[in-house]
Amino acid sequence: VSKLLDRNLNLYSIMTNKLPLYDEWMEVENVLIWRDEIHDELEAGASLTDEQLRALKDADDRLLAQRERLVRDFPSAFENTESISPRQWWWHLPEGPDVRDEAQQAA
Amino acid sequence: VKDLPTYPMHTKERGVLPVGWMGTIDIRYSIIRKGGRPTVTGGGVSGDGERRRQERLVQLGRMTDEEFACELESHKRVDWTSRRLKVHVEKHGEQLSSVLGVDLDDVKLAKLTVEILSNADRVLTGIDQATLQVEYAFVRLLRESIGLDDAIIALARGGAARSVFPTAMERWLKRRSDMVEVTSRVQALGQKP
Repeated sequence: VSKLLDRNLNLYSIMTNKLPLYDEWMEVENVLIWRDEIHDELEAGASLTDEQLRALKDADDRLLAQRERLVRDFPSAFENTESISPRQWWWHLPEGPDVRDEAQQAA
Repeated sequence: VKDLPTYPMHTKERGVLPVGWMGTIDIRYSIIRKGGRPTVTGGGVSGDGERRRQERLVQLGRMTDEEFACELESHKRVDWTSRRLKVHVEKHGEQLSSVLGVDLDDVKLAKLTVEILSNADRVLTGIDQATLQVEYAFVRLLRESIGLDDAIIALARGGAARSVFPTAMERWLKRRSDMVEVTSRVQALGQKP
């Protein structure tokens, strides 16, 4: 496990814990940016321990749990995302609550 | 938080904050380097974003250097209200601590904000998508190589500090292509950066 991936997972976990407090759309967007950092590391071949996989799933769950509020209150964070791969489902939260499942099934 | 002292830059070395800028605590920067190219995160500008960018460019073009300096200064001097500062520590304190390697309380966050506003490596400005107010983003790079660095961003808008958070600079810039970088103009004024 790379130190960078470990650090980024920790940051993403922290941010999704604090997400209910965020009140600026750029803060919300920044969570998605850090999720991309993790995605890229994994795509590049990095691996996670079982514990880290659980931590990532928990953090993703927290993000999805906030989906309605994020989409309603911070639409700016999700604009200009048409060109982003559906695999990066976190940018496509406005498309519905099943966006992660659909991305995983497609993969 | 009022009457905070400024913390002048004692070194021009990128990625190193002045010793003692946060009291006796040294900041440990991440030295982890990224590898490869990041995936696209909505790079480019939407129609609305392009309109706001063009509008901001027109505004900046019409400003004299004195007017620009005045506007810049008004955003560099923004402050936190005590309430917002405490909330911000709750929101981002742990995240910033993880990146900087030091625990942050409200006093230290206020000092960090002053440091970034006073000694930004890059400055961008735009029209905020949500409020349509003029906004400035003061960027402090956290590592030496430009372009792939982590950074801390201090957002100033409407006479107040709005947020301070760490980000992945390259990705953030791609998402914020509606903003205009004014680092060179700031430098031409004889100011940092």
